[in-house]
Amino acid sequence: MPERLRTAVAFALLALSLPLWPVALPATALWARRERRRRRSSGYAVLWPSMARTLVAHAEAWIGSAPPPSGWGVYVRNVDRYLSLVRGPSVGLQVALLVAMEYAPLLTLRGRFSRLPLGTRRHLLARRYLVPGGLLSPLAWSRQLVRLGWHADPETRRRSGHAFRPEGRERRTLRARTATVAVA
Amino acid sequence: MTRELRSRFAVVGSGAGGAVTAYLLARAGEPVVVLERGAWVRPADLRPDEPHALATLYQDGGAQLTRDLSMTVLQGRCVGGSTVVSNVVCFRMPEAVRRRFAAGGFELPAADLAAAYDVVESVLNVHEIPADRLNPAAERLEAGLRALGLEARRFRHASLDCVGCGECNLGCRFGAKLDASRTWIPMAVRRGAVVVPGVAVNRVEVERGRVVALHATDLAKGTPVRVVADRYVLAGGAIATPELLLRSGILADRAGTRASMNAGAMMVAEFPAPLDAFRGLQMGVYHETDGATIEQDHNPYLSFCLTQPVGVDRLAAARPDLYRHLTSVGVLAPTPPEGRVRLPRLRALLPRALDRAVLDARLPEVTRAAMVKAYALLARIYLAGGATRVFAPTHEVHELRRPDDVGRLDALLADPRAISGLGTAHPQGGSPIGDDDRRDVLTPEFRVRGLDNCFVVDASVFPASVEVNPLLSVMAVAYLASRHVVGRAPPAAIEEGPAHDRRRALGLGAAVG
Ligand SMILES: Cc1cc2nc3c(=O)[nH]c(=O)nc-3n(C[C@H](O)[C@H](O)[C@H](O)COP(=O)(O)OP(=O)(O)OC[C@H]3O[C@@H](n4cnc5c(N)ncnc54)[C@H](O)[C@@H]3O)c2cc1C
Repeated sequence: MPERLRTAVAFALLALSLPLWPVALPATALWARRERRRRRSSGYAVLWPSMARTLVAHAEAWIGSAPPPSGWGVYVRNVDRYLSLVRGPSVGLQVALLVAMEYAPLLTLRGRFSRLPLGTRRHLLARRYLVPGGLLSPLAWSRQLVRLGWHADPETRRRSGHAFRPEGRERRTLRARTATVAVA
Repeated sequence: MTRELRSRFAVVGSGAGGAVTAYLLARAGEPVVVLERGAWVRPADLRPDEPHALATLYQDGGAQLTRDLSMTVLQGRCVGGSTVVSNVVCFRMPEAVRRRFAAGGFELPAADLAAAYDVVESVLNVHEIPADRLNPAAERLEAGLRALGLEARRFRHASLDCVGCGECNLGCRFGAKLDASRTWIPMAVRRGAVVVPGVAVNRVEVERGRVVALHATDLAKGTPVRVVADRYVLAGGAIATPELLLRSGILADRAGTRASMNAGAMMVAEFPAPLDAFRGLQMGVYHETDGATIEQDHNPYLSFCLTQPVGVDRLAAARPDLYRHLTSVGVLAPTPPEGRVRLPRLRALLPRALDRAVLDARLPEVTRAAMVKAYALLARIYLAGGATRVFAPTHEVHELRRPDDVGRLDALLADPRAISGLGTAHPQGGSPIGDDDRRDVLTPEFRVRGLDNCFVVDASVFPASVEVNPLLSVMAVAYLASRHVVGRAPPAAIEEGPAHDRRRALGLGAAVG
């Protein structure tokens, strides 16, 4: 089915389902509560367990299907740790974004993002998320969280050849250099 | 219970504008309290942990976006404000900008402004970056510029004992960057200023044309704080200051207007041999071109990866050492003052977390065109400097391998939303100064129109972009504003702070400034 038709049908279905929303909303609230409770047992500070799946599905599609050197667990924890440290409203926004990332494909008559085959996920990112001004283009922001989790892995960084510097002897040598003092 | 703070002056925000103002007030013997919503971070608290730095030193963890989510707006959120995460490269305001400001009623007499820059630069120890602190990509860039017969200029920056670690944007763990938290703030505290971190001001209370109190929250405890002073200085930066005015119902018809920025995005290139561009300062050389500046800027590892085209992550996942061959250079171009800081619609329905002001701005055509021209030039510079391929600043990978490929940029970047990593670290305006009583938020004396005792001294006062990296201009303008805010002329020279201490220790004494 052509992409435009898919979206049109999805919106039509959404409109038709309007009378069911009052029932759906409490169900969604219950589901959110359950997810928050499960968060505690999964050891995340901010993420809901279902969001871990979303994040992995996005990383496979944005970057590569093989996990980063330290594995998917570390990748997801990197995102969780970052979100837990941020002060301010963007945490709420980013969590909302993660939920939207998972369910946005429904607007194109497809299943949840994490359940789609890799090829379909890549197709969606390229054709829907990265198209300037496209319906789902605001969700392309998801790549930043994905990249943050991926590259914050110390092992990924080490393998890239990057080293924080200067440490140890190099630091002392650099310190010993003459300081520049601006004199008018 | 509401905690109450009293002082003669209250300053909201401790960044470039607030810190200078606080120092000048304290130096004039005025009791002053500085309220800062971010934490007070010392060099010893900082570590090479990028997610931690992004999350704790930046507004919204570095993920502050424009209203349509098309651009990131980077701002600092800690004692010292954006200066703490800045690269402290220093420019003076171009003469053409000064004249344009004057035409709109924002007079900055040339001689006074030059003297202000002299004093501020002496405190910040502004000097040209020495060759041994440059990162290896600077040499490639200089070679490319030379090959095309173009001028390569070396940045001036504010530091003392800089080791060239290349992590300016994570805060300086060596304490070498002379940002506001290393200069004006401790200088102010030594003279009696009180700095209160972790307190966010939410509203300004006005009675009969005067501010009578600030309503704030202690973020750690979640408790209310009331701040009472005789005079108030808003210095929260280009988004937060207009937001505070809007939230307080002050000049709601114009607060937030004429917002501008220097917009930018990185262009990444690959070189045949490993460059290891992380070995040295992020910013070393630049080139000024028509309507835009090409600025070398090799971000710390994670930020570098966050700004490269997504396709490059895929390439790097397959070839991990690719990173060692890559470097990035930014193109920076001013936008006209057409943006606006807005509060969200339907605020009453929003959870508190989402009730916050955003910058409503898009990349105007004039800026896009200037940027695309500069990218084309930059691609040629890279190739002339020996790059094997240049990645167009698009979301997916588009490689430019020969000068003939550069023409593709016009089509690739025809839509500004196609530019990957588009954003700004230089938002400005929103509380513009000018002589138009019906248009401008501030009088030429930095006073909020209609309020006797409330001033604004930060990047929001600029009626249009200063067109260069703005930190030094915010500080110089804050120094000049002190005539109105403090009520007396600023000192002709300032001989304190780490750079002056060092000069004194070296026997250079008062030869400065
Ligand atoms: C990553 C980065 C790199 C940069 N590099 C350079 C550079 O190399 N050269 C250059 O010239 N410029 C640079 N800049 C820009 C420069 O730092 C800013 O233009 C300048 O600091 C703006 O000064 P300001 O006083 O307006 O605001 P800021 O310096 O941003 O300070 C505002 C402060 O007010 C606080 N605040 C805001 N609202 C409230 C509130 N309601 N209650 C309490 N506190 C509040 C904020 O937390 C913040 O700390 C850079 C900026 C960034 C983000």
